[in-house]
Amino acid sequence: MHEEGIRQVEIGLLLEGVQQVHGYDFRQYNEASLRRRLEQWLSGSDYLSFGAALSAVLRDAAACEALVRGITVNVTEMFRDPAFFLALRKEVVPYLQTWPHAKLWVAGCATGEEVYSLAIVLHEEGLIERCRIYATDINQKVLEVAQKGIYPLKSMQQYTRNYQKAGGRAAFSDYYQARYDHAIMDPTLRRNVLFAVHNLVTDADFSEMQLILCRNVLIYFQPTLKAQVIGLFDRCLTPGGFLCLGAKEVLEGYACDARYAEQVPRSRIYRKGYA
Amino acid sequence: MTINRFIKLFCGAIILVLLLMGLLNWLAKDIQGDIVRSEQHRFESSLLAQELFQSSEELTRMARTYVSTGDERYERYYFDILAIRNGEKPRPEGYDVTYWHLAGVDKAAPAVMGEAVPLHELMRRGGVSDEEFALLREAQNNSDELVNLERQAFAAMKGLFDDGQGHFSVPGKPDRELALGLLYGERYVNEKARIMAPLKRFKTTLEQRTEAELQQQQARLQHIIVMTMSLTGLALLGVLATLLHTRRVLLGPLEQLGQQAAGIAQGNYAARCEIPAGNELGELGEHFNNLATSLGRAREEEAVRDWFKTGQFELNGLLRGDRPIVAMAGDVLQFLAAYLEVGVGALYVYEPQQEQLELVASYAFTRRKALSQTIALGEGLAGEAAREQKTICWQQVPADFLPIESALGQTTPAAVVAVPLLHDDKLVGLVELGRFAGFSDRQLEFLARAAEIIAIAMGVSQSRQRVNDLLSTTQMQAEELRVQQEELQQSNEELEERAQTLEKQREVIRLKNQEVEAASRELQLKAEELMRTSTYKSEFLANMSHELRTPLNSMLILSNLLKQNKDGNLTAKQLEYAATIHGSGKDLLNLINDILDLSKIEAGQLQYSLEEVPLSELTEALQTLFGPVAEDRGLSFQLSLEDGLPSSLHTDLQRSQQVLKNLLGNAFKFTERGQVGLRIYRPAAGDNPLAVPALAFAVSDSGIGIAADQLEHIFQAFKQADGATNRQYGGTGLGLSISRQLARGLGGEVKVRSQFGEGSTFTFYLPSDVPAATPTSTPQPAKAEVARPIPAPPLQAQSMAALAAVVADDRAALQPGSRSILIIEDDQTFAGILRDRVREQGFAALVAVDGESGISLASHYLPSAIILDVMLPHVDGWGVMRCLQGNPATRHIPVHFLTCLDERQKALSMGAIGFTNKPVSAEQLELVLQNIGAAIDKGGKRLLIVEDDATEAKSLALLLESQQIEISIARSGTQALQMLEQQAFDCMVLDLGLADMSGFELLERLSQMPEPPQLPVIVHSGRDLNEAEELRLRHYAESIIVKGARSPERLLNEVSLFLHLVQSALPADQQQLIRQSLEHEALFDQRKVLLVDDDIRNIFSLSSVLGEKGVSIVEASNGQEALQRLDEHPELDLVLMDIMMPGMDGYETIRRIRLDPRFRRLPIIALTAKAMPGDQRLCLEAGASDYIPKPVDLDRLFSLMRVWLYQGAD
Repeated sequence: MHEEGIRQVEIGLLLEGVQQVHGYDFRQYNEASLRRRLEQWLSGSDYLSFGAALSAVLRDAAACEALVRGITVNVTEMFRDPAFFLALRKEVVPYLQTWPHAKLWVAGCATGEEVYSLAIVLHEEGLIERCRIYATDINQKVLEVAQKGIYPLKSMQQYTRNYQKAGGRAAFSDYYQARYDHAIMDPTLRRNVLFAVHNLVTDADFSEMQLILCRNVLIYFQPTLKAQVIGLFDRCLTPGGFLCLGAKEVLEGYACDARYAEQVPRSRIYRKGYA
Repeated sequence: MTINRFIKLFCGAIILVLLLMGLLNWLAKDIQGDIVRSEQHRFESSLLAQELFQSSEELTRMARTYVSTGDERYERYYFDILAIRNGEKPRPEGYDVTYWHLAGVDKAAPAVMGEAVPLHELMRRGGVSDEEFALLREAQNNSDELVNLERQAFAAMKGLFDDGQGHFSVPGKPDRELALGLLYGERYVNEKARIMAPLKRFKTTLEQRTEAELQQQQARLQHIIVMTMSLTGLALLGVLATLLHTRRVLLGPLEQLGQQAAGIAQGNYAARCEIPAGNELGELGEHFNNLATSLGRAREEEAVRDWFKTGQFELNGLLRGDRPIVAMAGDVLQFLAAYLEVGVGALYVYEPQQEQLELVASYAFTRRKALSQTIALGEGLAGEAAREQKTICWQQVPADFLPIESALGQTTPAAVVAVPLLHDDKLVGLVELGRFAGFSDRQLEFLARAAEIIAIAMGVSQSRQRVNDLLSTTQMQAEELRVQQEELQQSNEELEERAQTLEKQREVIRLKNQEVEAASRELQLKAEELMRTSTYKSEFLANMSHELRTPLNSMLILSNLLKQNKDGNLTAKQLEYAATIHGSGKDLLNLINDILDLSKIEAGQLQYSLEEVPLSELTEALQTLFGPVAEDRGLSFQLSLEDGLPSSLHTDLQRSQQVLKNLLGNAFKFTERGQVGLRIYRPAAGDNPLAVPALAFAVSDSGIGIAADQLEHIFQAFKQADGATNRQYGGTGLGLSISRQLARGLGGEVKVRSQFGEGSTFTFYLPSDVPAATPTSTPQPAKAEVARPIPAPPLQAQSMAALAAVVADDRAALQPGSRSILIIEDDQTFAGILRDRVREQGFAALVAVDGESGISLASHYLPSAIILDVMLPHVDGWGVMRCLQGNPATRHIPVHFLTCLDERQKALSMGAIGFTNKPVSAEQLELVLQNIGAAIDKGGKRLLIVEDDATEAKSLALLLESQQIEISIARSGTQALQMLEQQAFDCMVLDLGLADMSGFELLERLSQMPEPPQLPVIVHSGRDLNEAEELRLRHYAESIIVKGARSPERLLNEVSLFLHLVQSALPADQQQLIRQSLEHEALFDQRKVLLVDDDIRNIFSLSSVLGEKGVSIVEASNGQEALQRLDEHPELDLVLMDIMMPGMDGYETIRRIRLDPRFRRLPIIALTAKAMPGDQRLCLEAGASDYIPKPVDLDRLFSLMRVWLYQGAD
């Protein structure tokens, strides 16, 4: 068997082992993308091959965490796709206002930028006190970052532009305090946010949601896993609730597609019907 | 006196004493020698005296023995003794007392002979004094006297005698007696004693002399001993004195010095020895003192150096490592405070951008005064120090300065110092410290050095931070780039995939199109062929009828002629034959006509000429025609017309007559006796199968009747009630079929009611008044059915002609408002069964065997309900459902799916009222129909709007009107309660803010009604609700809507959701589960369970299920609340704890519960949505008794609860 074949086998063993020992299931992640992330992780680690890494990763929980961090993509920004947030504010918020209390789920929140973006929109729409945001991720470490809400000051410029484009009504600097080279997000924003570890692949739904925000997560999954996760979202969403996907993700072609309608064309905000 | 001299003196004294002692000893020894010599002399002298005495004795003995024995040997011995005594013969060695005793025995003369010395010479030599010697002389002389006697005796023995001159030369006779007498005579004894006396005196004198000598010597010796002893004593005293002196002068100071040395070794440099000067030790003491002083000084300097070094070292230790400034600052400050014993302190970092100092760490620092987090340059002591970049130290501090606080009190520091931290002459921060006691120079010095170190560390940390930031920025950017690249690549791949899929789909579509094209071409060919065939068939039929009729005609005519027997030449038998030929020919002709008719009707070629036909014309013709027949057959024929019938009909006379003739003909044919009747009347609305007013021509007979199962068959071409009938009664069997087709062609219908053996009634319904717009001539049969305004079917191309019932149904007899069920099912047999069942349940049945016709029928007849299969040719069930939902006219019709596909969810989600899997049992089917019946009975849904604002109520009503629902409005709570008591509603929309009672109150009173109405409640609230209110409302209300821009839309959706759901939104199998678990269980009864979950949906479903089990539920929506509830209800039996909750999560809550000793053993079951192995371990570690994954499997929950409640019951 040539080298490439062996590498394939090693990756298979690694993923299988991680699933069996630590419970993280990456076997249904998109193959090409997962392969690239894995190669990148390996080159940054001390292991010579995936086979060499296998034993360490299986025995050492910390090594496994590092692998998970390497595989999962944790880059995000505030008000990414301003048009999306504008649509959210204009077209979704009025509906959210009709629930006495709404629950929103940011699935795969990574370092939490979108959580704060969402919280800012809700705050400006006078809804934050009536909403609870569940911010979940597979990765404990990035959740800790999210929970602290401290981001590099440099990125704030970009975020401010995004915020304005997304229909922000105040000065973006009202929401953070600059200290040293970092910006600390206003802690009142996360008063109604619950940060928790949740694995979309293995864990079940935990509450009835009025809105689920899961952007640019599904692209890393294989079609079957995508369908499974979308099924999970579908079960969670209350009729009339909203499912927000990334710009490159669409709901068309999934089992529950018929029940959903895109609220604003090309916004990837889907509303669940009552039928 | 110096020690040196002292030692010299001491040594001299010792030597002197020793010399003296030697001398004394020597003297003593001398004296000793004298004593010994004296002793010896005395001994020798006494020996010589003894010898003298002895020799006399021996001489006596020898003499006497010789005399006695005459043995001359003794005479010799005697002279030997004398010779030895007188020194004439040598003296033998060891010459003593025993010598001569032994000589008698031992003959051998002594071998060794000494010197021949006379005894008195020996004595003289012995140092005998003259006096003594004189005595000895005397003794000797006396002895010589004796010797003379003895010589006399000897001579006597030998016979010689004294001559008088002393010579014994006178010979004589030996006289022994004389000899003996001489020797033992008195003279002899006296002479003997004369010897002894001087000897005794000698002895005594000798003794006395030697004794005196000895005593003299001993006295000298004594003297010397006394001298020696006193000298020794003197020496002892001297040594003692020396010792004492040494002790005083040497050891004491030495000890002092030793102690001091030890003290120095232990670090005590202060001790000084006090040794008087004057000797070397004194000097040594002084040196020692000097040494201690200099050592102490050195040591002190070293300690200071050490203190500095240690401080710097520890500080360096704190600053080591890659830590941000803020993290270090606290440690550094704490260290400085401890090291410098400082009471209060603060550390600031300089922010160059803002030009201010920012507080990063504080020590024992209470933010009491106006101490801001930041200090501008020049502001206050610290600011000033920072600006000047110089340490400022106040040793006297104002009274209101920041106090140093402790739990016991507080006081103002005595001194304050602010030290700027400078790195490369640039300000990086500042340390400010306050102290009770003022700062010493040493402390300030240390502070200055520490400041340098801290500044360097801060500078380094800052630059490291900068580097790190740059690095992380770069890394982040790289990561972002990578991710963007990743996403781009990802979407590219997806696009590619999609493009490929599209390509594939296009290919498939292209193929499909080709197929469709081919199919349509084929279809066209087929159609053409069909048309050709049809033309052929028509031509063929026309030709054949012509060809058949022509010979038949002649045959009939000729046979008739024969039968008349005009010539009279035929026998009866032959006549009978002719009649038979004629009859058969006629039958054949009828058959041909019927076939022709039927084929025309079926081909749509039959032309109806509609005209005004007087009713009388019809009846008269029939009367004329059948009167004779009746008579002929002996039956009565009654024709009755109801009152109020129109005088004429707009119809085709010929065709309607044909139908009636056929029916009457049949009636007569199958009736042996009794009667045949024709009744014309207007049917009641419920009796009229037509959609329009009609006239009914009922032909009844008392004939053989038709079995129920044959009723439909008789209308089918070439079928009669039973094969035997045909043979018995003749006829083609096409009559009824043609009649029904004709009737339908005329817009009417033929219906039959019959009971086997009791006759039958065929009723021919004809539309009584046709709208003027109806074309008067040649209407298409399909058009004829368009008798009432119905919505256009969605498939326009579909002509009703194609809707001819494949499976016979009741569409013809269907009347408006009658209960009907449309069966859309492609399996005709099953459709038939369904139809029968539907009829049994009292519904009219409509049957379609494909989707399109189903849709058409539905929109045409608007059935009360639809039973729908999914697997249908062309349009499948889902398509049909979508079509139905898309058409406002059919949207409300309840649809029940009956299919082999297992897509319950999909069906229900599309709005179906029910779903059943095929195959079904009879019981299931019954249930389905009951369900449908119930749904139909509900008919128009009734909605109650409770709203006290009239305008709002109106607008709500308008909003919801479009639905096919009946809306009632209650203007107050009381009114609403009244209305709810009086009638059933399907849904209630409730405004919370009513004038007479709050919505909460209304709902609570509703639930307290004796039979609380089970209806979904949608709360429509104008104000925001808090969580407690929402939870409270959730007990009664399905949905809560807050008024707002988008609330009408949601209201509309929710209302229609609840109105059209037969069952609740729960999936069916879950409902099944709930139902199964509804029975009470002794173990659960009366148990109290705390349910903690922040998801109202969960609380709700679980509490209702558990409530049904007899468990009483205490609810809490977060951890804090759970602890409160537990405190209020310590008697709780079990806790169901959600893990993911805001604020205090489940783990923490469980931990806190376990802290309370009351709840150590309380069973807690964790509900977790997480499936990772670690999560479950975490539950148990936190103290949960067990866990169950979400979504909760009720069976599993119950068994878990059974286990834990059972354990708890112990």
